[in-house]
Amino acid sequence: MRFAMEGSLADALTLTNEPTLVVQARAGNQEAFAELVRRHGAQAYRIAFALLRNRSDAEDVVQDAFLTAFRLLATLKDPSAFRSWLNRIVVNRSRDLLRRRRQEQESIPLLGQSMVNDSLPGRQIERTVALGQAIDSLPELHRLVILLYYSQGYSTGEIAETIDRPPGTVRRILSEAYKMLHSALGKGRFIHDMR
Amino acid sequence: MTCDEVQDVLGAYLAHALSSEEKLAVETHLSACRECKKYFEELLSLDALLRQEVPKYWQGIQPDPRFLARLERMEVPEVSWWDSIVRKTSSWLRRPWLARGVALAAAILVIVVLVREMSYWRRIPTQLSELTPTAKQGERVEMPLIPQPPVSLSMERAQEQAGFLLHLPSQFPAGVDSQPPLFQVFELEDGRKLIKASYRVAIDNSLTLYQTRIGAKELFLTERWEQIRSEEEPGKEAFQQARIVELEAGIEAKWAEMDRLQGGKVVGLHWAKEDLEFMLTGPFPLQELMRIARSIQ
Repeated sequence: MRFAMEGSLADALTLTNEPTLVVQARAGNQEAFAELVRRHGAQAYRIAFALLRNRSDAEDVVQDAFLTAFRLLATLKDPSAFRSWLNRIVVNRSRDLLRRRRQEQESIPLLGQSMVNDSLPGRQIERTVALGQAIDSLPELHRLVILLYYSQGYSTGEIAETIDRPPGTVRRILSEAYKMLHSALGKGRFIHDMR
Repeated sequence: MTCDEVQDVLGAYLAHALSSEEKLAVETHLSACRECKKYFEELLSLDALLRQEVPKYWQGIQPDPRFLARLERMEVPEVSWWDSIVRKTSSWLRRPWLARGVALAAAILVIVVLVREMSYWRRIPTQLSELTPTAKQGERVEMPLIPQPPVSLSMERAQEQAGFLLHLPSQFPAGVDSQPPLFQVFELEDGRKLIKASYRVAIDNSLTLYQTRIGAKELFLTERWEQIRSEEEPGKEAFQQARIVELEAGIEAKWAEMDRLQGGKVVGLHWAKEDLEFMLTGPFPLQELMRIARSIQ
């Protein structure tokens, strides 16, 4: 199903707006599909990884989600909604996998260390690590909601679409996540350092 | 708003996700409550911390570039014939004239089916009125049963056996705590069958009494005997005999209790047809049972 493509056409695709790309992919244009992967692959992976905390599971889920998206592209009514639709598939697949794996596999520590920069003063490193660990310890949906809200600037409405829950549930999850983080960070011990 | 309520929504408040009324209620509370104000200030600091740190956390989640490259080059399999049908149907249905056509055809089909069903149901009064009432209200009728456990039936099987349609309400009137009707077939000594549609009521913890005075003692005892026979106890026979005597002695008290529950009314309606006796019983006033009987006519 793949077909050869001129370089100039590939370049043109990178400038193409998303709904057009989706329509082209729907018509079977593999290069348009590859461009959608380039645009959304990393984000889809981060969402899967934030939920699963396992590299190979996240890769499996993302690959499966893109295949599913391609097969079901005809059912997507609004081509401009591709990103949230794909992310929703990723979230649902990840949660399915989590349910199956929950008993089988130890999750791995995630990112408590990845935020640490060696040049930071000791106290700040400690706080950064504590925050990373607190985020890691949140339930998976709470973790994802906090990450999407603070790293991507998603509105609660966009988050609701992505995780396939009503906006009221996102509000509740957000409030609960704050409470959990507040409690995990020593009820203000690290928080007060910010002032 | 209470402190708990405010603290529960402060996260949504920070995320600007509250309605203007909720926002005002939170702000009013915060201006008057030191404890919540302190918690809110800590959340503000947490919010600032998250804004600073979370983007680094997010960027720290890096897919393997080889994985992304593999994903881009992924050979997407041909869409299967089934997927193509779904895809084509889906795109056809997006055409307004076709969608309207399909909706119209579906509506016509529904109307045709409904008309057929209604004409089917209209035959009920004729069938039920062909049956002969076999007892007056309050009259006690003895129907000797062959002592064997009754056979329970679904409503559909009971319809087949009775030879006419039954559609009994599955809910009791308000205030009566019981279950949907139960259909049972009993063999009578005179060779006929008795189909009993009973609304049941539990009158104590150990016993579900099937309410009817028409042949009730026999029905009741048949069921209880079977139950007692199946009990494994030391000195089984003497024990069973004692239980049966006890049961017979207690049965009048049970009827009195049923009468009390029903406001003193006897509630059992029955009809006969050739080799069949059909009985409808329930633990509610006669008027209610008549209403149910009318609803099946």
